[in-house]
Amino acid sequence: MVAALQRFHRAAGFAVPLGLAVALFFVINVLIPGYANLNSLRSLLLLSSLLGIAAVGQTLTIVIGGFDLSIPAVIGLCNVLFSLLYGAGWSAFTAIIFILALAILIGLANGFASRYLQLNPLVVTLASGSIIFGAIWAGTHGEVAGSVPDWLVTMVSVIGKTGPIPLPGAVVLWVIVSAAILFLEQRTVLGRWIFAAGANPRAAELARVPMLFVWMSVYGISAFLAGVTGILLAGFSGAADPTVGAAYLFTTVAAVVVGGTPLTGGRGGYGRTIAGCLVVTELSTLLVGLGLDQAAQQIFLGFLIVALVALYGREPHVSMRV
Amino acid sequence: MSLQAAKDRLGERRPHAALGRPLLEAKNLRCTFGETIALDSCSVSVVPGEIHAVVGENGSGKSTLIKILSGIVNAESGTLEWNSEPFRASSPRAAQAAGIATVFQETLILPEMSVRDNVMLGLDGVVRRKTSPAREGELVRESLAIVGMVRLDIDKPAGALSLANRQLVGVARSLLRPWRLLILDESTSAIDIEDRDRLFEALRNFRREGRSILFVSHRMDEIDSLADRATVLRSGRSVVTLEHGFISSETLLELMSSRERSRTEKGARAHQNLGARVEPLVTIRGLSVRKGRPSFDFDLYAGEIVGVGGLEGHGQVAFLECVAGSRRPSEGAVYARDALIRSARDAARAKIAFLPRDRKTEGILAPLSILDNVTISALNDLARWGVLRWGHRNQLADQVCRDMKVKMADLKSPIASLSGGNQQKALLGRLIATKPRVLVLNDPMRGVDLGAKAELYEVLVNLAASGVAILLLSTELIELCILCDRVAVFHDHAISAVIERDSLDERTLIDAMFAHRKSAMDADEAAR
Repeated sequence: MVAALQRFHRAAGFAVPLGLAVALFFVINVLIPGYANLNSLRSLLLLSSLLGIAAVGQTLTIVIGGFDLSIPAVIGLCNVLFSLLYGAGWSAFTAIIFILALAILIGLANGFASRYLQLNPLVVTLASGSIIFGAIWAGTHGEVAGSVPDWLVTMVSVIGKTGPIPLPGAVVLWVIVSAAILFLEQRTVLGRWIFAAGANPRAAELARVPMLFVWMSVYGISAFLAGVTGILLAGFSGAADPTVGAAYLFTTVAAVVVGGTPLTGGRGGYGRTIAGCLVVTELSTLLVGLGLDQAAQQIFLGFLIVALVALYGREPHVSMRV
Repeated sequence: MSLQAAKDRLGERRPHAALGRPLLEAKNLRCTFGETIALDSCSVSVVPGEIHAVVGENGSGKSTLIKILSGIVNAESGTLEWNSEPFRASSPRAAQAAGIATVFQETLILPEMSVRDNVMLGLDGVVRRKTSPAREGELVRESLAIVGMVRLDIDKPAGALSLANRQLVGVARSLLRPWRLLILDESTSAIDIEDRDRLFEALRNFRREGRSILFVSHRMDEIDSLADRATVLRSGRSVVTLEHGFISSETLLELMSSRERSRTEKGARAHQNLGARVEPLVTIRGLSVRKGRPSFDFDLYAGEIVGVGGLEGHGQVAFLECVAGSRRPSEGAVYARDALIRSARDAARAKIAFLPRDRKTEGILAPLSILDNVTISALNDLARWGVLRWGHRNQLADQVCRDMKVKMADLKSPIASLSGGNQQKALLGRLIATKPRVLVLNDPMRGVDLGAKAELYEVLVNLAASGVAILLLSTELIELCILCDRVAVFHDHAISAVIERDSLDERTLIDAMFAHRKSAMDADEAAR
């Protein structure tokens, strides 16, 4: 049964997680009467868009055979910095440019250390995350006084609109980011290098793929988009919070894996992660809707995702690949 | 060789046919992996006190035979007898218990552990409990001394040892077990001549004690100086077992290569030298590939195919890597026209393309499509501002695959769906896609089937005719003879002879491989 499912899954590509996302929507509708309305859908998309933008980096780093555990820290850093700087009278534009440039620098450092210094990316990003968190606490002592511009609040509010489009700005931004990443993967030199680098690092290097460039670019993109998520989250909560990104460690990895990108690298891609984000968000929505508290939500979300991955996101067994 | 001469050469060796009862007798072994027939009908027998060589080309089934005897793989049919009793090596443990010790090709050494622990590995339950650390150290030292490693700190990590010494540690480990048959699967490939002589002396001593050794080797000199008998394998079948006096490189080569194959190869158009060597594309000056080894000069001209030959482990691969920019020479320099080649990037800029040896680990990008695999090195030529131009990639891949005669369903199918020969063609296509001026090929025809081989020959000849310079390392002499304008023969990490097309045949090559520091002139004379 499982084998047949797996075969179907590989043949159907990301139609499976997408189908799952649609099916889940109806399941939720049954379990939580009155769920299916326009606002629920909007809020689902909004939450998915925040996760989706943060999960770009996790997808790409996993495709090249790495991991990015510093995403929550970068989200927290950018979240705090934006509130602080804007509150201190910087223009939103300068603050964003400054913060995202800083995020990119962090990403480049992650990529450099992982590839050039040949350190394990898990350790590198875990360490850089810890350094960043430490720096935030040292700088703020946990108390952040700041403010955010109104347009940012609108961008991430469920009833927000983007010009004539009846969707909040964050969702529109996610659509743009998704299109850009899918284009990057399929139609650019860097995109194909990313997949080659993950497929067989030794062979890719001998085929003259500039590995250091690829790793630094991917980690740069990852931190950049984590930074974007952090800034968006500043508008979401209205106040700065260094730990606002904490949930995004597990959920980004879950979205990638539920989407069906294998952790072995070289396969999968962001298209699958988009569907994965919808599924993961729906699951947490379901748990909230059923009235579970924060702790219970986490427990159930963990179990549900393991169950899902066991069902269809698994690597085929060695004996099936030979 | 006359019969008398053959008898003389037997020397101390005993006539084994007279010895009767074999220690190990394998009959008609057959073993398949999916569609691949690894062993078809293979028989071999080893008598007590004999050193028995197993020879054959790559893919002839040598490793499978060894694995069956060591209990790693089970034969599908055929019989095994040990001491005239039916025997089945159902697991490595069972084989060891019977008295078969195997040293594999890949050295199974744990680099973090000390030499002492590496030698004692797997013996814990049997020996360690009864042995004091002092006694254990003694055992380890004794067994290391047998393989010639005398002054060695056994408490330092094994990872610090050279590859050759790691192989010797592997041998020492096997010696500690009570054994009657020692199997060496190309376990001497990395060992230097000097160390090897010491190891060989040890093996001869074992023979005197009445113990047996079965060894796989590609080196004629090893077989010549050690083996009492040699069994030749060809495409999974044991062709014949030769007594020592009748083993010669010509006989072995002839027996190893099937008649069919020779026909294909003779059918391939012999490459014609395009005449004058006018334009040197690669200039090598004072190159030394390993510290302390002699340096040499070499020029590679447009339109020629230069073979790189020599016994395994004499610096050929390091030489190729220096030319391809993926290794820094210890002395001297490689220039492409006037540009110094110091890195893979330099080489790429100078249009030097490199095909690594191991297709699986260094060549193909397994999960990706043929399209990706063929174009990955040429992407920058197909893009503007990093964005791939519509259709250009397909067009190039299509063109290259047609030129290379890659048999495939379509460009989008995964490279892993192709046969080995077609994968190799696609990988060569990856180099061609970069429009190279120089091709550096590390044994490109290895593990490629006959039909594909002939097609690859043609491709190489045509490329040379169009002005590309080709540096071709091959482990098959006949290939060097058919394809090359001249062959640089390596000995002791330097070019010891360059054999020109006029005097190029297998005999000359073998002579040059074994001749210590013979000049090209001498080699020529020897041929006449």
